[in-house]
Amino acid sequence: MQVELIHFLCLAAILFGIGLYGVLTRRNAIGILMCVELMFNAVNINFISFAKFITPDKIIGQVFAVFVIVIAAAEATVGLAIVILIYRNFKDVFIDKMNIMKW
Amino acid sequence: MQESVKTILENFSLNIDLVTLMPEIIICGMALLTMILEPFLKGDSRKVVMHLTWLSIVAALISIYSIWTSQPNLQSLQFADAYRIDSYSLLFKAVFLIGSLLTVFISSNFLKFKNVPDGEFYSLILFATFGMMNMASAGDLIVLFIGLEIMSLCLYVLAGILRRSVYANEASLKYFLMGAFASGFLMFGIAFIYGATGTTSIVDVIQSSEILSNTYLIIGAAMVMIGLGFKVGAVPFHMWIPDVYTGSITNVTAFMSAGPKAAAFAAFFQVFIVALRPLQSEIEVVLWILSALTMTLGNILAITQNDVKRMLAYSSISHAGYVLIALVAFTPAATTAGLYYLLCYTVMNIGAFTVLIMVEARENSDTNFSSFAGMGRRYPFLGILLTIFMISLAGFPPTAGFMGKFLVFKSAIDTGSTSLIVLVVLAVVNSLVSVYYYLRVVVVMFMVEPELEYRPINFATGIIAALVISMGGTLLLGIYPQIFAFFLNTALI
Repeated sequence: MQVELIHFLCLAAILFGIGLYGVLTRRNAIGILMCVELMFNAVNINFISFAKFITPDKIIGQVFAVFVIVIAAAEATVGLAIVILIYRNFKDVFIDKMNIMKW
Repeated sequence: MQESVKTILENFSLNIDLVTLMPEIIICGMALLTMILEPFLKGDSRKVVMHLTWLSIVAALISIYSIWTSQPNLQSLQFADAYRIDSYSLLFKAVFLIGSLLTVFISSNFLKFKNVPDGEFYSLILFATFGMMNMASAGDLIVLFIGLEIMSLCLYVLAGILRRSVYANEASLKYFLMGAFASGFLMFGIAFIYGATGTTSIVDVIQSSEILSNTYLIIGAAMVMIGLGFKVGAVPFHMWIPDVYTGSITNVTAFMSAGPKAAAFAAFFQVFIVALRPLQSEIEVVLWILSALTMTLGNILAITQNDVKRMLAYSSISHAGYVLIALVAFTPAATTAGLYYLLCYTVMNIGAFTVLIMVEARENSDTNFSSFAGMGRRYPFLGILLTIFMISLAGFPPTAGFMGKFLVFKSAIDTGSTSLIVLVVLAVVNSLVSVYYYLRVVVVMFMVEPELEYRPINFATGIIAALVISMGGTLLLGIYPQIFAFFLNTALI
């Protein structure tokens, strides 16, 4: 069987879906952070596969994927810093407790 | 592969013009400088950081003005077509800079009152401004996305800068999780737009005559709309706004509701009016629904609030709905009107927040309606200023709020489409409803006696400067829009 563009896109869509489901259902802030990373990596798969199949003679997709990796690292840094701050004040990282203000 | 990289590098022309990049260079350079300088300063000399910050913002504004006057029809693509500088993006940058300038003025005293270390604060404000400027000038979706992230990462930290407050912690976490989630959608959408057109350059996306796959383009547009909808706070994606705006320290709330919102709209205009023009008819329908929901729900929820800060948060949702009308109209005149509205909103909203900060910066005070009781009697001049800001937000004639709404509604009616006229009628009804909650502040201020002895308000120099600028702007934009006639000659494409 030949691996086509659509297979990569399905993989990325499934990964994105798992991440999305995790963000919406997880109660642990760290868990949500990891699920967001899954979504970012699904985006990377998309970019690389489009670069390979749609524009094989240009490197835009790869460049964008590198930028996404950098951004994901920066987001993780800020996110973990915020979670540590939360842990200091709440002694907990479960977002159920973080509902002082009504939604 | 090796061969193709070589040809790309050969065809790569950076084409950098440092003069037109001056505003960005000043802001980014000063952001780095304040970050390095701050740890070396002790005691009173720390004020230097604050003064450097506002001076650099003024310098950037002056350089925008001089670029504007020396090259009136500027159209330059730089950094291998990734960065676009034209009169439209310059005006957007001016709006962000005015928002940041007012924020710096209102912050100095308030940060001291709240015991916040002020070193990193100014650096973060400048970096966030730099990110917004990148978004307005983006010629490529990569730049747009990087700019958005530079801005957002600074804002997550700024939202939680009041480290000991559990409210600020909660605001920061909610903002971060929602923001990262929205970024995921935005990137997924950009990937699909790239897959459909084979390019990420905003100008090339419309010019790619053979769209490879229309399905991919529609998926991409939908995902980008969800991502940017979160950033502007359009209604199905608005749930974070009230909590983040209420939990953050008030001067950061003022900042977030002005500049970053305008920047998200700049991205909205770039992507949906320039890049995704082929999908105009589909986009119009979705934006119509978003706009109608946003202004109606924002207004209805604002009525029920007892906290002025939270009320202003909901009102900022409904104002986003009015700006979305300009996007539904899809004409050059509408893009101009949208920009004018964002300028008006920045000035009058930060003005209202300035008075809120003055009320909050007293002993044992909060942001409830009751803290305004008696203010109008005790400080009639301040009371009149707040009244003008409130009637401007509600959209009464001699003020900026009226002129902004008038231009947006006029540009929508000029298109002559029935659905847009229905939307404008809905917006006018909504403006009438909003009068109730805006004037409630005025009623409490002038007609209700304070329960306890009235605690005096502290007038600091920065706060007075911010009041003068925002009041001057609110009146000028409303009474003499002719001065700003140059706005009307600048439209996106």
